[in-house]
Amino acid sequence: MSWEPQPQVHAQLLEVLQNSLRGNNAAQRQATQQLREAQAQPDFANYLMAVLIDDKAGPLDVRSSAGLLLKNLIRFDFKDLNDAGKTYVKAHVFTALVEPANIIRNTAGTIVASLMQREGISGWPDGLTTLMGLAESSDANAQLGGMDALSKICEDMPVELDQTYGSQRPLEYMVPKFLEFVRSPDSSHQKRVQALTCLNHIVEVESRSIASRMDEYLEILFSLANTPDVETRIQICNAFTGILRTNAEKIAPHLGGVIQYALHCISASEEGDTLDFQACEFLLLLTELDPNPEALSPHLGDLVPAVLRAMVYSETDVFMLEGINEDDADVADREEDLKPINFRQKAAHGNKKNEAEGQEPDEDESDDEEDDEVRGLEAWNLRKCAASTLDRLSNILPEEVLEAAMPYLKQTIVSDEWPAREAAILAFGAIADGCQDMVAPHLPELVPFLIQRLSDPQFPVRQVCCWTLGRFSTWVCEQSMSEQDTYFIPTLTGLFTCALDRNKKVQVAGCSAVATFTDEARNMLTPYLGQILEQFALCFRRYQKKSLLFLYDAVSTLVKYCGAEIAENQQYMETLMQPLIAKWEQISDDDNALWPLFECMSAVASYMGPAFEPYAPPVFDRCARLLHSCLVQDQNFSNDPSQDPAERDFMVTAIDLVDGLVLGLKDKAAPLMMNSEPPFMELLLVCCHDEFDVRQSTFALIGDMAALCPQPLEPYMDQLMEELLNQVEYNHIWPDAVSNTCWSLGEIALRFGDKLRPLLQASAAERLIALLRTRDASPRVLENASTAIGRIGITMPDIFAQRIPDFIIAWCLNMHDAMDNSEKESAFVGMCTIISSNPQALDNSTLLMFVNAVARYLEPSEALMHTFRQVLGGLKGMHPNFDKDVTEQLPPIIQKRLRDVYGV
Amino acid sequence: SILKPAKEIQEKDIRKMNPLKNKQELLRLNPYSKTFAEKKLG
Repeated sequence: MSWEPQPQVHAQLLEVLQNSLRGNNAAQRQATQQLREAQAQPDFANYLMAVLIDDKAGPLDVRSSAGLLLKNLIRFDFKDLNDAGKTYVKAHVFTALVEPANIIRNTAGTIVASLMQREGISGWPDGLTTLMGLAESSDANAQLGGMDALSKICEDMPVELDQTYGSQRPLEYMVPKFLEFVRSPDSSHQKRVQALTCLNHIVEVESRSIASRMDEYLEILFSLANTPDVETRIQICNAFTGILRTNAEKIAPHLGGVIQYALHCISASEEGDTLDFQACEFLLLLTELDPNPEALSPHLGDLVPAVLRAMVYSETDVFMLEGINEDDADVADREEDLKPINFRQKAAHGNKKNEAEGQEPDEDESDDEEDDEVRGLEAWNLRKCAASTLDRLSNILPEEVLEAAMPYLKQTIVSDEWPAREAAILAFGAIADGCQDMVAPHLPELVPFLIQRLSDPQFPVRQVCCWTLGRFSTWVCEQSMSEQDTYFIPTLTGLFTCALDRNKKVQVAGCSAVATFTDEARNMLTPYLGQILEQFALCFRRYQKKSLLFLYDAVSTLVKYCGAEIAENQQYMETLMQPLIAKWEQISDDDNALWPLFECMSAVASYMGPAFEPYAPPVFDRCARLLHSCLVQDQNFSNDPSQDPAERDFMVTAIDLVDGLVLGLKDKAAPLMMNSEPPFMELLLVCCHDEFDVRQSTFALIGDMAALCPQPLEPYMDQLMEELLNQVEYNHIWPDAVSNTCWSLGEIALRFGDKLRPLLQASAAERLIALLRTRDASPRVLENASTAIGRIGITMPDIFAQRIPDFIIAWCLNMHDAMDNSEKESAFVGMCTIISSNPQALDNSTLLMFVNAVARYLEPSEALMHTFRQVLGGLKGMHPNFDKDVTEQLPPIIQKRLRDVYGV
Repeated sequence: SILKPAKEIQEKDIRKMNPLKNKQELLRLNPYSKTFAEKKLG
């Protein structure tokens, strides 16, 4: 007997749904609660389905919200759906899929797609057949409903559709049908768009069902290209982009035509459609795929003007930008303004929750539309796509791009229309890198012009001007000292004026450009440190939360290059520290604004050296206290899961700040750690097996302590080595943590040497060698693991000597391309020691590898060169056919180097 | 060639990774960066 709804329950559900959509706040809350409770009822899904299909005359939004609740039940709480419910949904959902109302069809389509995803293709064998049947039926609504569900399934599970079930592979019969739908003159525009959407998803997974029909597909696309329907054209552009990504060789013979088509679409696009954007995506991909310049060259005369025009803010953008209050420096930032910079914050699960309740977000979250649109400007859009394309083009064909762009830019950069001015300045920034040599002759004129535009009346012009000027920092800093008054000082002054602008976006742009400029100017800034630090102090006083992030970056960058000069001058030191301390005192321990402050403080501490000592005790105490309270919070969480665990970024930034103290104060940081209560090392030992990002910082700190202030480590060496060795194991998700583990092991070995023997003897060789043999391991991890082997080998060669054949090949491969630095030097010293203690372990091929690695060491120190000479001499002495078996096997340039430098 | 040319001095600390370095990279992105726009949406 089939299931039938009880009229009373049905009516009650209708009423609750009504309330959830239209009631006052209290009624909505109550309705939400009731719906949540109803989910426990075994036939809740049936009732939702019944509401969706039965009340044909009922309000569409109520029916659709029942459908969305059902979709969420399937998608997120599938276990709550029993077999009877599934059967009922499968039996009835198609009647909703063919209704005239768009919203009902779409809702039914997402139910079908969700159910298909949970059941799998083979779990619902007639599902696809029914949908294809609907798509082919003569009823227009059935066609659209069927295709809507199919396009969602093609999006969600293209790979599954491409697999074989029994003797059938669904795409093998779907693709020809879709092609036919696109081709047929009888298809409606909508149906054609849906079929193209399906095919575009299928192209992305490179199904052979479409690959084998690519010529046919392209032919259909070409014949359809002149359609007046914009949505179809958009899908045609998407199709070309997808084919270019996956089957570039198929599109190559037609490339010129497709480029011209994309250009045509860009110019034919109208405000409000996205045709120009999708067409530009094709052009961008083309420039990203390392194209043959000769294929692009003939089109540059069209391409360059098109992207330049597409970079101009649209009328809607301009309307919006002119409508907002640009005087916002005193308006506090909201949490969402800080995304994505605080990107480790928990992802918002709001979507699921709001959708699940079948209603709009809560009242306090529904921002006014204007804000949403302003944020829309920050999304990936035509303007950005066009600017990226220009940037790429200028790297591929610099001369020709500049030639094509210059007349237009010269004209528009002085336009009275600010959007034209703004886009021209953006364009100069975009080509600054690719065309740098060719732009240089224009810069004596352009740079002063840009400096002048830093005070443009329009804030978007000031904003973009900061960035473009920043892109010319290298040139500005390269001009002779005598021209400092012409370029260098006015640039710096102008950028700081923008950093203190009355508009927050300009502040951020100015401050970022100061940081970029600092990276080029480095200690050329020394004579101006007093003024720069004063400007920073002003910024600190004026800035809201988001601008502060950029200011911290600028400060960190300055101390990196001028730390020593600041440290020497008491006045500079105070100007720098006073605002930092003010922030330090103002921000509470549970505020995530602490993270960027800690990062900045860490940079300051590490570059100030001993000058930071007076500030160190309270800084250290707060880090230790925060770390301790995070660990306590975690303890509470593990006892009572209703509490929150600690936010990892508090721990990471606190540990990194202590690392900054160690780098700056060196062994003077030791008493801070040794006198803290609870003992700091005990906190750190817990962090050793925390989450990977915490470990990554912990082992970085421990490595720096081993090198610079080892005393606090000594009493804990047993536990520490146990933690460390346990973690010498590859992790594909977070290799940087393993990298730091190995690096710190090497630093500890270098510092404590033979004292570690009892701790290392049992497992160090085993674990490091296993790590070295990990497939697809990151080069950084392998290099650090190889360095650790070498460093342990300096004092304990015997640990590795018997196992040389197990790792020497991997070791040489990891090390011969490593940069010459102190890590590499000590690693080779150790490896020479290991080999000297068991030279017989090398056979001809491994000997060849090692000799090659030594020869490729470009600039060894005197001492290391001496060691190399001895070891190579020894090895040669042991092998009677050394020349024939080894040196003569190596390339002539290596042979020469071995002979000239080492006499072998 | 087998003997690689002397690399430019790398500014990045290659020994140990600081987890927050990538945040700085994000701050310096260009105004048309896709990464930034996408992270924002995600």
